[in-house]
Formats: sequence, structure tokens, C-alpha cells
Amino acid sequence: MTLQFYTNASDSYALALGLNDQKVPVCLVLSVDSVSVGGESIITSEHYVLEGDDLHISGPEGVVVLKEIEQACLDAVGAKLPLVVIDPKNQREVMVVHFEDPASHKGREPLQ
Amino acid sequence: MSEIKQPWMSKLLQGLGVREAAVPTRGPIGKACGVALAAALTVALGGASMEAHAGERIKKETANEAASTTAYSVVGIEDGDSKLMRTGKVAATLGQIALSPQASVISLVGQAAVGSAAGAGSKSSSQGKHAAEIVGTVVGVAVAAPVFGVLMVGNQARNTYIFIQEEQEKNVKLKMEEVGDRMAMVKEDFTQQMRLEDRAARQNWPEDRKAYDQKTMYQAAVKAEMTNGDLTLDEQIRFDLEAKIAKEGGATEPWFTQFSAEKEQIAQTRDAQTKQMLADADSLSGDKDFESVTSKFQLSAAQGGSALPSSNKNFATFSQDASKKNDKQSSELSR
Repeated sequence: MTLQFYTNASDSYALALGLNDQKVPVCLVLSVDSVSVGGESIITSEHYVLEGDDLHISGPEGVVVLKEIEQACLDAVGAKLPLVVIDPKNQREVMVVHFEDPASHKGREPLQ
Repeated sequence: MSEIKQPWMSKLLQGLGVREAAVPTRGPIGKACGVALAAALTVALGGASMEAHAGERIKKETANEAASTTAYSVVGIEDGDSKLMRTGKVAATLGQIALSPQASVISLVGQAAVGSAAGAGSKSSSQGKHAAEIVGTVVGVAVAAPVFGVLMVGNQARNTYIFIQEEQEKNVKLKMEEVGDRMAMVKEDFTQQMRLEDRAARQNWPEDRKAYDQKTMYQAAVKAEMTNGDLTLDEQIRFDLEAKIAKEGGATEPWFTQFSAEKEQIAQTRDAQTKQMLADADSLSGDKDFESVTSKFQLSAAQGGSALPSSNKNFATFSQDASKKNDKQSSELSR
């Protein structure tokens, strides 16, 4: 079985930054309908990883690619903030984490 | 029609302390996605309020849409709708979603949202302009739902459902930079702490090892000072650490104390040596013989310049010959 790729061009999705009450970004946010293709598969995804400027969100149902994400989102990915995918219609949500070697927990630093 | 007594809210977003979201989007389809995301965020961050306040108003639009209690039905998105259809539908109802007692404020900015989104939908498709450019729209979602027990204050309302252009985007970027700076600071503190721990560990070394270490460090520091050279990375780290401790008035390691005390003198010695070397060089060039040889050599080279255009190789040979001649002459002269 080959992995299904859903590629979203840079102008066909919306990726949000979640800000806390100090207006500091704490996570990235996607909803299942804020991407043009592959939306239903991201609710089961597990990891995300950056390939160039493209965000690859992978799970058992395939890989959703968001082309050329915004600089602010790139910075958030760089800071390894989690990605929260929400699906209010079906009352589902999932936290997708930056992919890294599972043996290593050293890379993650707490945001102050 | 199903009633949900306890509206769904995102526990993850709540847990992370998310109170607002910035949604940068590009192009009309991106904007439609952005509006869909904003609607989803509205539910996820405080659905109760939205349902309570929005339900009735929407009913005036279409009874069918108001019949459902989920945000998606509220904004009237159906599975078959294209993204562009969504733009219109969501934007038309977005302004109606009242989130707080300050409903007047919300509906006011809601209008701005409708205008902006509608513009993206219609103008860009007819003019084909917006699709190519980066619209840089930011949908700010601030929630002041009763569930949160927080009321929206005046200036926060500005961020609510306004499609804010570049300025807001810039702010978000600045905030990201702040996060980056903060992380760098944390890292810096951590590194510093590790170095101090290393330093403390050195205090517990056996005496002979400690003495050897101190001597090595002292010699390295003196050598670097004398030659204006560099310390190795490890030495430099220790040097900087001691310098920092000295600056803060702490007790430095013996090698640094000794070196600091003698630094002035070492520098003087070095300067004196440098001066001596320069003086030696001066006296050399002041030598009459040396001067005459130099001028002759220059003369020869100038004559040899005629050979230049044809071949550099020739010139090299020529100047070699010339210098040999000069050597001969100089030895004759010095006799």
C-alpha cells in the first residue's frame, strides 16, 4: 500500500497560530475543513515535519502537504510548537507533534 | 434538530491557553479556508456563547440552517459546497455570530469581515488579482464567552473578526521573534549553568590535577596575551566565565587571579618587544646599502616592465635575472 499524498497549494488552505492571553504563539491550528484536500485524514495524523517551506502532516491515512507556509508559521514549527487539528462538527480534536527521534527527548525545550 | 446541552470545546486549545488565533491566508480559496477555520476556532474556543447568541439571528436568514446546533450548520456549509461558496456563506453569517455582551462592537467589526471576505470572493474572481498576490489576511478570533468568564475589553475588540492586513501580520511575526529571543535566553542561561557546574566540579579535583590544570590555564592565557593569539574554545569559555565572575565581584580561579594581576605587565612586555622588533626593522630599512639595493631593484623592475605585455613568464624570468644582478651588485657594493 502506498501512502496517499494530499497536496494543498499555498493559496488553498488556512493554518492558524494559536495565541495565549499574552499574545504569544503556543500552537498551530488547523481545522479539517481549512485544507482543500485531505482534510478528513488529518484528524488521525500523528506527526508533522517541515520539508523546505512545506509542512508535511502524516498519519495512517496519508500525508497532507501544505505548500509554502507563512513565515510566522515556519517560526512556530521551528520552535516545535504542537499542531492542534480540530473538527467541531464531529467533536474531535488531535494534537500533532513535531516529528523527531522517539529516543531523544532532549530537543524539546519548554516555552517560558 | 438535535440540542447539545454541553457545547463542544477544544480541550487541547484550552489546555494550551489559546485565547486568540491569527489566521494568515492567501488568495480567495485560502481566505475561504481561513473563514472556515475561524468558524471552527470560534466553536472550539467557546461554542456555548456562539450558540446561545447566534442561534436566533441566523434563524432569520434561513430556518433550515438555524435548525442545527453545530457551527457548521450555523454558517450553512454543506458537504457539496465549493470553497468559494463557503466564503460567501461563512462571511455572510460570521458577522452575525455574537460572542459577548458587547454585541454591538462585534457586529460592527463583523461587517468589516463580511466586506473583506466578500471582496476577496467576488473581486478576485472577476479581476483575477487577489489570487496571485499574498492577501496576508489575518482573522483574529478573540473569545469572550461566558464560559471563560472573561469579558472583552475595548481594545481587544479590535482583534475580533477584523480582517486585519499587514500590520497585524507584522505583529504576529514580532511576537514570534520574541519567542525566539526568549528561547535563546533560556538556552544561554542553561549553558551558563552547565559551565558553572563544570567549574564547581573542578574544585573537587585532586590537588595535583587541580594544580596542573591551573598552571596550564595560566600559561595558555599568558601565551595568548603575549602573542595576541587565540585561546582554544574550551580555554576561551573558561576565560570568559572567569571574567564574568570577576566583573560580578566573585572569587575567580587562581590562574585567572594571577593572570589578571600580571596582565598589565605582560602587555607592557609585549609592547616593548613589539617596539623593539619595529625598531630593528626600521634600522634595517635605514641601512644605506639596503636602500640602494632596493632602489636599484625597483629601477630594474621598471625596465623589465616592457616585457610585461608579451608574457608574464618572461617578466618573471626577467625579474629573477634582475634580482640576481642586483644581488651581485649589492654584494659588490657592500664590499
